Amino acid sequence: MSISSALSTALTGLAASSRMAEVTASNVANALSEGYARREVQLGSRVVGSTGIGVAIQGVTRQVDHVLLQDLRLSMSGLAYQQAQSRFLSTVESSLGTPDVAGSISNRIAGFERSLIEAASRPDSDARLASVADAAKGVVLGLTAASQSIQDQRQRADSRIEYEVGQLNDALVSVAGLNTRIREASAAGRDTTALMDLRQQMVDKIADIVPVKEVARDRGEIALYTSGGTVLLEGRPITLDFTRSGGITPDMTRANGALSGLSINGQPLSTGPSGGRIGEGSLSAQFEIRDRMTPDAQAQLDAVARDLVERFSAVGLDPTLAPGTPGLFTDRGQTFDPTNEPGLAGRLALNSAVLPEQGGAYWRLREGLGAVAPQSPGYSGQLSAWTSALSSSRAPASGAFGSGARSFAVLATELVSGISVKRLSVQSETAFAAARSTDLKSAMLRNGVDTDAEMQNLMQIEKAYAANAKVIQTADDMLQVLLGI
Amino acid sequence: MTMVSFGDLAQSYMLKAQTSRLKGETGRITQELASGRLSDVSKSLSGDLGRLSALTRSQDLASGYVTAAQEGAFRAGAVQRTLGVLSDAAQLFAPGLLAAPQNSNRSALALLANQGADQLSAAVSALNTSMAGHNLFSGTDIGKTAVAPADTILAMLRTEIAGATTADEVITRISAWFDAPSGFSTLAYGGGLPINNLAVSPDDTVWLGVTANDPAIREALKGFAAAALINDPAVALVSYDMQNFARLAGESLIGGNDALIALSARLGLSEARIDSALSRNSAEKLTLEMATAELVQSDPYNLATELEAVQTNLETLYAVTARLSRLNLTDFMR
Repeated sequence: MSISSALSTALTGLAASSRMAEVTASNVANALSEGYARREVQLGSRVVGSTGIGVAIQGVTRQVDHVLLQDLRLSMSGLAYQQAQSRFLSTVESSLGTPDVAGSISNRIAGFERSLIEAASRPDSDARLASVADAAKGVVLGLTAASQSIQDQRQRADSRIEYEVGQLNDALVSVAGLNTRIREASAAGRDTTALMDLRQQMVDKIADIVPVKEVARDRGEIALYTSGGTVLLEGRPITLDFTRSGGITPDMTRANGALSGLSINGQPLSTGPSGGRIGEGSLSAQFEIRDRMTPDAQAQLDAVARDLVERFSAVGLDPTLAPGTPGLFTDRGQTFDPTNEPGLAGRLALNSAVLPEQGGAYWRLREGLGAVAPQSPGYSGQLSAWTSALSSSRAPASGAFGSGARSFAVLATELVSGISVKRLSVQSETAFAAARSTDLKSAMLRNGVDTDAEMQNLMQIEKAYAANAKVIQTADDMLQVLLGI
Repeated sequence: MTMVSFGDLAQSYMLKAQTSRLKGETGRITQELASGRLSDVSKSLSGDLGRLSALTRSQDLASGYVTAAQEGAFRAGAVQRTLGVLSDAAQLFAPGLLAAPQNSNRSALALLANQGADQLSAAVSALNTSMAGHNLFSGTDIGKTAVAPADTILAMLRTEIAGATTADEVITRISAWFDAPSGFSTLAYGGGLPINNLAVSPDDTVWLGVTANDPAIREALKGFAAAALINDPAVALVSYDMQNFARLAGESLIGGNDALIALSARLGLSEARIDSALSRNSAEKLTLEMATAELVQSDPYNLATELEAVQTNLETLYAVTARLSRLNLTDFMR
């Protein structure tokens, strides 16, 4: 009896070794696949009745550090949240430019002042007046281009939200599907590790969009929550609703209903501050950009544009100008209406009375915008008045600039400084988040497949296999001896 | 059995992360070295761009003011030369007129009158000098001729003085015509108001408002014109009155000359201020350029040292990467 039991025991050993070789092979094959969790075969002694006969494979387990994984996911979401904002602020900053760069807003304003000073010295020269008009156009262009860049980013954030909501909904459906398959497979006693790998990758994808927390449920299923406390998946996945808006203008906001918010089954979901009910991730960063950062930046830019328009339409600055008619800088050719400030920076235009290509003439820069005909080519009083309109101290009528009067150049610099300071602070937050997630990712990968360790295992397996085979051969020899008697 | 192991991906991830960090650093350093500028100016200024903006703006404005001051100096110089011409003429001509009562024959007076007419037209043409299409004495109406031709002025004066009987009466009428707003200023002066003060530095504007309508110039013209009319048939003065008239014209010229010198002195002050503004602006531009450079320029010595350090670091990393990739158990399992 005991020889045949030795034989079957050795057979279980062979089976266990082959299974371990298979798992090792799978580990080695996936050494470079991200999201693959290292497998280990759990062995135990096989018990028949009350006696142990051979070795039993108790199962194959995935080696995952769930706490670490959770931390990594949250840090990835946080990083995406910071990165999106940092990118936005960098773009706005570079569209305004630092003062040392030609074409920056400060540089354009200084160029305008310079051209006025030079023109005041030779007011009769059409070339000088043309350069004043060009420089003024440059200032307008600087502000409209910055405004355009901000609005483009707003539109992009809106499209990005739609894309990410779509991705998130799809991923949730996939996770729910995988949940079902894992439950069925484990009920049937099949290997679920590959499915779990897939599911982990899918949840990682969700973590790129929203900060997600994974909670284990019975029979291998998982439930998903956002760090803001919203249920994403509990048995059945939720569906997030969002409608993209085409052609967003600065006056469209979520508050006045022109822009769509996020909702679940018709229930609106807050997306801020700090991510609101969905938590800080790439999705809430896009909402932050669309609903708070772009309107803020646009409002500051509009305040600067408004200051410019009001400086140049002040009563008495240009005696030829009839009250209520637009000054040198206009709201798309019209008089600026203080109730219509949002988006002014994008609509800013130079008065067509000084532009020959629009039926005006350069000499109106010297004689006044309302002048009928050129009269005194040597008169520089109006040009000096324009210069002092730029350099005089004036408190901006709107915008978050703090109280106090300042020249236009200083105001514009404060606008850029404000953005720069924000960009630098978000950037340092981003650097911190990036360092943290790099650390966590390293720690996570350290738990992954180590081919050297697998090779060592393989040697052991080889040895065990050979030993088991030897046991069988010996048992066979013993049986042969018995049979040969 | 739980294994203590070190995943393959962790190693390659660490190496990759380090390589990309070092390469990024190298990129930044080489860019800063090549361009000579900091790659992130806002960062080095902690986001406060006020100072940099003030510096670059002042630099821009200073070059505008330099242009304006240069042109102002040019214009003032030309005006000053003309004033000199007028003043010299008045100074040379006045003694002859003052001496008329002592030297009284008719032909000498006729000579003085001729001389007066010549001086008047010389003065008028000097006042109508244009510089690059710019009539210097026309004020803001630089396109227009400053003073009407001498003949026209004399013709107008003739109708003005017709019927006068004494030298005093004639000179009073001539004076009145030159001084009254409805006289010379309207009828003979073709220009406009004086030009505005010229800004030559952020807080300095200089006066350059000399026109042909200036009282000093009118006074000088008055003297020349009166001299030209000494023996004019429009007024039939007796010989004694003619001598007196010539003396009065001479006195007017002397007064005009004094006023011209005062005007010239005033313009001279403006010239001096333009000069000092010009040198101040040029010096300031240089200082501002240096101050700006300090804020935005990269430091090549520092960067070279950094580059050396990063290079060593990167080379070590490459060596380690190569060594580590050769180091695996599989290669030894033969």
